[in-house]
Amino acid sequence: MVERRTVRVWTYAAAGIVGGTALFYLPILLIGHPAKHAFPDPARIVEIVVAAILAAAWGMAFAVLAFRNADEFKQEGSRVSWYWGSLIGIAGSVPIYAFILFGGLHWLWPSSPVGKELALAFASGYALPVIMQLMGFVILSLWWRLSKR
Amino acid sequence: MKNRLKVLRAERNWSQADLAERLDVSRQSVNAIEIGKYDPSLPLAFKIARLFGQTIETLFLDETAQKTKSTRR
Repeated sequence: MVERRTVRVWTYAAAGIVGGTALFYLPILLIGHPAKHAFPDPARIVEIVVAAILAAAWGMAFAVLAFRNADEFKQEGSRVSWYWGSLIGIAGSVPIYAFILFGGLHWLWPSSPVGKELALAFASGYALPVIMQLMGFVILSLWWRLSKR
Repeated sequence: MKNRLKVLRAERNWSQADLAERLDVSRQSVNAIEIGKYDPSLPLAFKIARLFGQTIETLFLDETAQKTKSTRR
């Protein structure tokens, strides 16, 4: 039988994922995909960015609830998994990034698109989450040191 | 860290789930502590000690202290 605490944690996690996804896609469902309108359309961009902020905040709120409702053993497991899992994931992504950036996909599938603009877009897409993760790590590290004085 | 949790639990005829409920933790936590794969936090260690009417030192076996004692002999 599944423990009540575990059910509570799963419920929070599910609510975070489902609700966050719904919030993110709501403008697209209501007003249609941005590509269907004039591109770039500042009004559409603002609407979708606001929806993304709400979705992220919703997801974070439920992630915090899920974490706080887990017992200390599972919290420790989450910390270890996120720390080492993220580190291993990023380390593993570096050779894949290099392969794709320098035309590896085009080498394997000559029909696939290749070009400078595409490479720049790919590099930006890869760099954003990595940089944000590192920034989050640095900020939390500083907070940890300063708050424990 | 080695401990006497399993013995004390068995004396009271409690399952791991029973103990977990009394401590307000998951059954996996109790199992991990019993087999020495996870050391509880201080608040949880005190809670366990209070539940069994023991001190932390009698519940959890400090292997480092024991090694130091045997080296000195």
